[in-house]
Amino acid sequence: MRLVLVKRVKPLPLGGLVIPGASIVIGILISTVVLYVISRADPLVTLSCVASALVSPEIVLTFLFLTILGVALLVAFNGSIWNIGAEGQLWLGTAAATYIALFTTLPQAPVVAKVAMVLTAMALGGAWAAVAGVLRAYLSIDEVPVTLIMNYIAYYIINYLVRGPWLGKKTWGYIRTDMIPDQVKFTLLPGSTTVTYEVLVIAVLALIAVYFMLKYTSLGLRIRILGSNPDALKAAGVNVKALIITALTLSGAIAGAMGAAQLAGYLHRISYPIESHTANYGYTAILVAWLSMLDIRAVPVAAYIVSALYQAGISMQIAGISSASATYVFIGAVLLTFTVLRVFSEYSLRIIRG
Amino acid sequence: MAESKLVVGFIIAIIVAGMAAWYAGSQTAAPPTSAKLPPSVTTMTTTVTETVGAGATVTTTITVTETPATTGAPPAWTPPKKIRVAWVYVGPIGDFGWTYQHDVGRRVVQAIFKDWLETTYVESVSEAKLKEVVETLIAKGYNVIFTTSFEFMDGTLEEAKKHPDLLFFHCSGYKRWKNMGTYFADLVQVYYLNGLMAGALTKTGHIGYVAAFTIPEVVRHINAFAIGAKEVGEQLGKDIKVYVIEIGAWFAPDKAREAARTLVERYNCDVLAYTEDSTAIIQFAQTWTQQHPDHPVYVFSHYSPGYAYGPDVVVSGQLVRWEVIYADILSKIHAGILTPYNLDKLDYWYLLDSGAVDLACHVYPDGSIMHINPKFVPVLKNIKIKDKVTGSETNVYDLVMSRYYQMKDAPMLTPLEAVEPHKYENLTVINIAEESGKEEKYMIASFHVFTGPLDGYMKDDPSKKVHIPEGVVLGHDELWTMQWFVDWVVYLGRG
Repeated sequence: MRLVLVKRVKPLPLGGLVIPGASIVIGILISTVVLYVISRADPLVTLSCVASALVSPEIVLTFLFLTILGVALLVAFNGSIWNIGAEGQLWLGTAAATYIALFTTLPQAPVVAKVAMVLTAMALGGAWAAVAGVLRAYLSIDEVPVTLIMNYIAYYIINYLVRGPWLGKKTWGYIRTDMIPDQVKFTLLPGSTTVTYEVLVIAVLALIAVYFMLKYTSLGLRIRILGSNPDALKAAGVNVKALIITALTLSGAIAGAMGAAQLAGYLHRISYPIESHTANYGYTAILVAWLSMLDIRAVPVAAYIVSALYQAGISMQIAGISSASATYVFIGAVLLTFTVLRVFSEYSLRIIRG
Repeated sequence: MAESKLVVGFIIAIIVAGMAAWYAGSQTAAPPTSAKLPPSVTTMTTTVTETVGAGATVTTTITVTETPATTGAPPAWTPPKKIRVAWVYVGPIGDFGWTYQHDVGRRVVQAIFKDWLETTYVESVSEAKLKEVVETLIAKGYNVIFTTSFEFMDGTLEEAKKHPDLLFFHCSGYKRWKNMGTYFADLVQVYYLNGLMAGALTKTGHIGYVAAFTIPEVVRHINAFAIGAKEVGEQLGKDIKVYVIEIGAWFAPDKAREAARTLVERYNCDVLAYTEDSTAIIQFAQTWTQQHPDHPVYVFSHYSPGYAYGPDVVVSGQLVRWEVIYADILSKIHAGILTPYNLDKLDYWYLLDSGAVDLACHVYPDGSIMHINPKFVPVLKNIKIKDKVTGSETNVYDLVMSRYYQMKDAPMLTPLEAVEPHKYENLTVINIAEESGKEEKYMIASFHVFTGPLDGYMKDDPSKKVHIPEGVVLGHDELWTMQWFVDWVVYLGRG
């Protein structure tokens, strides 16, 4: 008697809803058990922390950031191009926006400067991702390690800038840039200290633009076919190399826009070293992209769930029942469950006798 | 497609639920106090005072003070029955340095004031998450927030302005508001005492210092350490040099260990001090000394008690007892003395006399402390020197303890700090005779580390020299903004 996995002719019906939903529920339950076993965290308190995080207004900024980055990743992921480099792309976006805000005369015209900050951030984030695109398209170098390694190169480039030419004049010996001028800071929503109008606009625009791009344009169609049947594209005479580079560039550009929003809407300056000041949104967004099952309409849902799980980790610390690592237990358990369930949506388990 | 309709419906449901929750949250988060706020305390005046430092030097001190406009008498304020305090930490409480020691402070006040105090903390908070974390704490009803990292300064100020009836305290910064005070426990005196021992124990005359960042706090600690080392080392015929490597991180065990190794192997240093929040350098010195018994490397533990990690090499160290400050602040909030209307003048700068810092490298199981590793006590007692102040014959151990008590026995300084920050710190002896022409001396403090003559150079431009004339004592503002090294400090740059 043996067990075999057989690919289903069709994936399970409603898999796009059931699998992420089930993996979140099961992941949370597994986390509850794990946290109880490890640190005797009362399961009821754990679950109440998760429940309160789901309706917590503090998650809005993280939700918006993860939505933008999730959308960015989907552009590439839909073409089976695995951009692991949103982290580096967004930080270079932050750096580009910093340059505009601190070292050009544009801030004298605030609106122009804000637009320029976002556009330059998109250009640099896109260019950074395009490097991996060129390597993949022309040299067939796997983009996964390339984009991952380039995150650290991006960190160190910015570290170099902040320690050297960009070092602020009013930093009291700390290694950081000066604050960007007040007039180019994004405008906070009334009653919030974190969410700005501009970041809201960027998130909505990114979501809508990419939705229409993927669904209604030939570029979107090609990217989706690139993910399922690249040979068909070649046979149809499509320039696949250019398509790969385009998809990665767009992906990096959107991540770069989020980087500009992070600077102008929240951080207002860059502190050295990046690797210990980042919130790692670029990596968290990979989970968001997966949980969305690469369906852009589900990206906000996934971003909402993931940001709530982060918030639950903080709530558990405040409740005194776990350390900072509780967050990673949640995220890890959900991702693991998701991976397992996905296998079963496409494969069925059969027992063969004899 | 049923599926897509379901997804859209789900999204809408979530957005609606989120908005409703946001609204509900903003309603319930209204703070539990009866006080009414003054209508428009939002304007901010920025005073920039520029003073040229002691004598004809190039030391330039810039003090930036942000003061909210005062609108007559502060409103009446009743302290909450239950004071709910939250700490926001930059590192993990297990760092065994900065954050660990803050959390010891939290646990102490929690145990003492359990009848009216409830505490919590959030650890490993990055600058990019600070405001979200503070908002979460406030939404959960915490009414006093301590943020314990310099980089939280601007975020804390924004939150303080947004929540004018809650109390905020920021450790190590200089921006204050009517409901945001600042506090710090400073180690200059303790580093000086460590330096005395370092100058006695070094054979090569080369002493190493691993610095996290060369911000003014660390610069003055390096200088204090170097001043102590030279005071003893010079008498023993050693050419004292203090080599400094900056690692650019508060918690970076690998970088700290490599910097320590460089100082020992390349610069021939045999005594180390440091500002980094792990025990890596102690462990490095212990291992090194076991492998090279003829060339031991001694070390001074930083912030938390490090003796257990290097019983053969830890001579002494700096211990911080934040609970002294936390107990003071929280009891004053409970008593209604500190309110959200009078914190803009609160700037605690607690020194050895306050008990918030101490000369120690170990806490015994009974809670008492070890000032100096017993292994080194006879060694230090056998090194004969003169006390440069009195000229009398002594030994290094007695000198260290005598200086310790000279600085510790100044019980007036801390209460005076609460009257007006930094005004009375440099007082040494005052005349209390009421008849003119008579003199009746009252001793306030009998020793100050940074007393001229001192010569140094600007960190960023070594060609600019600094000279502090004989007898001039540097005060809080000069120390707080210090960006120059004494001449025998060799700044090797960022590692």
